[in-house]
Order: sequence, then C-alpha cells, then structure tokens
Amino acid sequence: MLALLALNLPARAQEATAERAYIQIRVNGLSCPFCAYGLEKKLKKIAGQKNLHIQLEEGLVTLDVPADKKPAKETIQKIVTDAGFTAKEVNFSDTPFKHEDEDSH
Amino acid sequence: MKTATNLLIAFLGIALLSACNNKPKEWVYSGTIKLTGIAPIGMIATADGFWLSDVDHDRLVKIDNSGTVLQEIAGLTRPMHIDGHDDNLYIPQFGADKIVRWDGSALHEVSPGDSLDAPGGVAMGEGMLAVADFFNHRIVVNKQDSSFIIGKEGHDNGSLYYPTDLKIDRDYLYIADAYNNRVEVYDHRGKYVRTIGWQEGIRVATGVEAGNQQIFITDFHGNRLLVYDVYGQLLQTFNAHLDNPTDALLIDDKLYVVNYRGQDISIYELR
Repeated sequence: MLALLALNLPARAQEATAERAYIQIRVNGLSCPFCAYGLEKKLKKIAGQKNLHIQLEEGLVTLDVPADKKPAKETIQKIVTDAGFTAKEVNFSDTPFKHEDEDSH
Repeated sequence: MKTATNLLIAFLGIALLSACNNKPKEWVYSGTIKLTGIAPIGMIATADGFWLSDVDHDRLVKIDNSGTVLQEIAGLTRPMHIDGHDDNLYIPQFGADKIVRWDGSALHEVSPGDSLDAPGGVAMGEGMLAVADFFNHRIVVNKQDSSFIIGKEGHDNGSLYYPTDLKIDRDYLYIADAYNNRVEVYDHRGKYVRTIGWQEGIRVATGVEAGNQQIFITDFHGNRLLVYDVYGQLLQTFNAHLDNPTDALLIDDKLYVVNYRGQDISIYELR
C-alpha cells in the first residue's frame, strides 16, 4: 500500500504543475488604479483564473488558468481591448512568470 | 495747500494698503498626514478624522488627524470614491458593480436604479444618490425612487469618457470626467451646464471637490491640483507635495488632497 502511494506521488505532483497554464500580458495605457482595477475586473471573468496580479508601473498582468481551459491569445486581446487598453504582448508558459516588482520588495 | 497735499498722500497710502490687503488669497502647502500600508483613493471627513478607501487592500480605514488607523471595514471589492450622509457611509465597489451602505455596524446593498459596470464614485445630496458608472461612461442618478441617466460615451460637451468621481451641491453635479481630462457640470435634472478644465492639459482628472466659491480638480499624472471659480475660470494650479493625487476635500479654510502613489494626505491653507 505504502509502495503504491510512493509510486503515485511523483505522478500526482507532475499532474499538479501541469494542470495550470500561466499567462503574462503587457498592456499599453495601464496607468491609474481605475484602469488597473478595471482590467482586473474584466480578466476575472476568465474561467478558472487565479493569482491575477497587476503591476501598474510596468503595465504587466500575470494570471494562471486551468490548462484545459486556456483561452486563445485573441480572446485575451479582446478582453483587454474591450476594457479600453491594448495588449502589446500575450505570453503563455507552463511555469509561473516572475513578477517584475518582486525584486523591489 | 500743504494740508491738502498731506491729506492726499495719506489717502493714497490707505488706498495702497487696502489694495495690498485685497490681494486674492492662494492655497499654500501647510503639512502632510503620513499613511502606512494604505493606498488611498477617496476620502471623507468625520468628527475625529477621516474615512479613506484603501483600494489595494479592499477595505476602508478610519484614521485620526495623525494618520493612525482607528477602524477598518474589510471584505470590500476595490472601493473607490466614497461619500457620507446621515451617519452612513456610501461605498462604490468598483470590482463588484455594487454600492453598499455602512450604517456603523453592517453593510447593506443600495440599489442605484440601474446596473453598473465598475462604479468609481458615489455622491449623496439634495435628495439624490449619484454614481459614476466607469465602463458605461455615464452617471446613474437615483432621486425619490426613480432614476435617470446623465451623459453618454464621447468627447463632446455633455458626453463622458470613464467618469470616476462626482460631487453634488445645491445647484449642480460636478463630474470628474477622468479620461476626457476635465470636469463636467450638470444641473439636478441632468441638463449639461458647462465644462471646466479642458484647456489646462490635465492628464486624467481622477477627482473633483466643490466648495461654495471654488472647484478643485486632481490631475493624476500631472501631479497637480487645479483651482477654479464656480464659472470655470482658472484661479490657481499647484503641485507641491502631490504624487498621483486622486481626491480633494475642502473643510473650512483647509484643503486636503489624497495622494495614491505618495500614500499620504497633503494639507493646504488659504493665505
């Protein structure tokens, strides 16, 4: 039984990291708290999103979503445009993006 | 003849002194209230301090005149420009499309009369509750249980583009038309009256305050405060001790300005 559990652990850990997709968005025009939190409100509608983080100074947004529900780049660009901004860049990753404001804290 | 000359000199002297004394007063920096761990947007006065919306931390905090936190209302969703009326606090939850009322012990949802998309500011007065409906580019006004809309999306006079704050006085509504970089003035029936600040190169007009004789606009990226008479004539601009200002509050002869990035409140006096 213990051996079975031990065999299962690495597989489960792999599953846990693989089940999220990480998204980084560079946004033009994200300049005041009303903009930042307005965009946050719109991005929160993405199914299963978590860890939404906005860096106002850098115009950078990161979040993660279930890997099997990863939205298309065009969907994210439309959400950003509808919120009144332009998505300069949308990046996807299997591992979390580093927050650029982490170094300053 | 000599007496007449002396009288004339004395008269001119008095007239000159009088003219000097009548020089219009200006707002001058007089101090700062430091805040710790608060990212403030909106502010109202209480008997013993201020209520501030702390947008980054989803709460309201009550502080004393030295900045010490006395009380907290937690569990809000991105509260922005608040107002107070009859011992109640009115709080727009920008991230939850709701207006709530704090009666001193609990939160109660308030219906503004129409659906909202990111309410940035709320104002009470003259029997009205008015809300700056940010993403809908309009003001929702509830008066005597009926509601009406002020403004529509656009850049012309009478149109709005991402409004964030508003104030009500006995005659008018003053709207911080943030991304048109100006303040729009409407009467209580929603009729457009005038535009203030469009010539001054404001870079996001996040907040407005209306006194009996002066109107104040916070210029978020310009790090300025602009002072106008009630007809929109510019009287003064200043930038001393301002760092991304979002709101202004006039109490007697003192002006309090909230700095979002600076995380403090700058105080000015008329001198």
